[in-house]
Amino acid sequence: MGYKYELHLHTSEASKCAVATGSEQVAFYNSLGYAGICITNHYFRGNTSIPKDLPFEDQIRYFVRGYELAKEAAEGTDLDVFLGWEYAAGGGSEFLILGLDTDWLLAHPDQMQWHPAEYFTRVREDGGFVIQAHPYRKASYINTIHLMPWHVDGVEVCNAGNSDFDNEMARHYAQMYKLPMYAGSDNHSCTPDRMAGIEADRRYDNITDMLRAAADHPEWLFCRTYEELADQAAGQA
Amino acid sequence: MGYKYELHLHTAEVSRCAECSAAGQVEVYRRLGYTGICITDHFFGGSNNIPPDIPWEEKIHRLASGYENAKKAAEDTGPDVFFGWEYTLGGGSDFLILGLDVDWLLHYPDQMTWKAQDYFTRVRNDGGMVIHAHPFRKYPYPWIDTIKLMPWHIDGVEICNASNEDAENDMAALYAKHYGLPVFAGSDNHEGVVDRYAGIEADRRYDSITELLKAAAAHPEWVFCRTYEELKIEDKE
Repeated sequence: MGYKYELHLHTSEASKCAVATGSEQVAFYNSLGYAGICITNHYFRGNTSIPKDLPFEDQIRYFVRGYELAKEAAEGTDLDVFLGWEYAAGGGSEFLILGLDTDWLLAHPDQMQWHPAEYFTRVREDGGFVIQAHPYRKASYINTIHLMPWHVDGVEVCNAGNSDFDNEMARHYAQMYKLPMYAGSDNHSCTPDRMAGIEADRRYDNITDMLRAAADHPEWLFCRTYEELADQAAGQA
Repeated sequence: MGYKYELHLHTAEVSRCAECSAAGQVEVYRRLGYTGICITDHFFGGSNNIPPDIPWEEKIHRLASGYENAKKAAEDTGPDVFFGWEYTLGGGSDFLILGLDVDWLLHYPDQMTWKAQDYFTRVRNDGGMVIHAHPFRKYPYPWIDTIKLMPWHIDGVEICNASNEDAENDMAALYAKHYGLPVFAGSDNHEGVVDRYAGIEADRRYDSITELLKAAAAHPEWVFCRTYEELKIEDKE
């Protein structure tokens, strides 16, 4: 069995639509034997609970609290916790930003004024990773699908919360533009029916190292039911 | 030999990027034996030479001037000339609007304030059709950093744009196929004589462009893409 990583996860501390706390998510993923999780809460312009009336620095500290609580809860366990965020480019288009830290966020108080293409360029120049989340998601609030193949490091071709049709289109998109493929659960609770992620060859201390390795291993992608993952974890206990 | 129709054509009278006049285009298509052509000059917000600060009515009459000149030039010889326009979402996302007339445009001086999905809904409710032109047109056009798709708001996809690369057209075909959208084709002709032409080769002559498009929607095999040499016929004179 490989080393499982969750790339797309929300906690109630910062994502308005999430019902599980950071520490609850840690306990959940530990129970399933995961090696690492990325906390990717909704960022400004997305479905975030960041108060609008705080100074920028306080907003960022508020935002990362879910990640920090998860990291504290994971101490002493085998689960690594990584900071990320789900950047909203507008119109329902969202992108997972991974590999950067709180200091990067604090260093750019004007970042929400940047055009998305510029945002991604700066993330990537500073060592971060951009993965388009659920590019073909269908929802009542989405009128337009936005794709940015020249500005991303990869595509979430399996989002466990999306339809198979949406995921299949995402896969075709990634293949046509030769973009690395990733997967995530888009987990907002501790009770998902289905989960998706990366099952890597080893533990990675650094999330971008893992993502770069996974870029060459599309076979590391997985999508399984919760029951399958729980049985797998129980079998190794 | 079928009845050939050009769905995507520009005139120098209106489109800033076009080099061939309406009469020049008519002559080219007459000699190539076309049955009908759609004049789809760039709409407001796109690359046209209509001053932004003139009254709406005057803007529309200027927009229609390419079509009117073409119609006059084709009066005795053909081909049939149809009015359309290439509506832009901005950033390279363009949609051919066909089947409506100048009166429709004059009737809605506030239409540039409508959201794109509302615009397309109103076009379609009033008997027009919306075809996504070159949906996967590629960077490095400097103004294209995002591909915008609206599969739930259009009548079809231009899966062969004769000015695009085959890979871009392949993606468009895949997109249309996955969403069950009718397929169309066009030359995106700005110059008169070009290397490659694309369009619809129908079973008969159609007096109404929307009737042609509705018939073509059920006949994807009517889509063609050929070189100028392949299309050239004896000069009718």
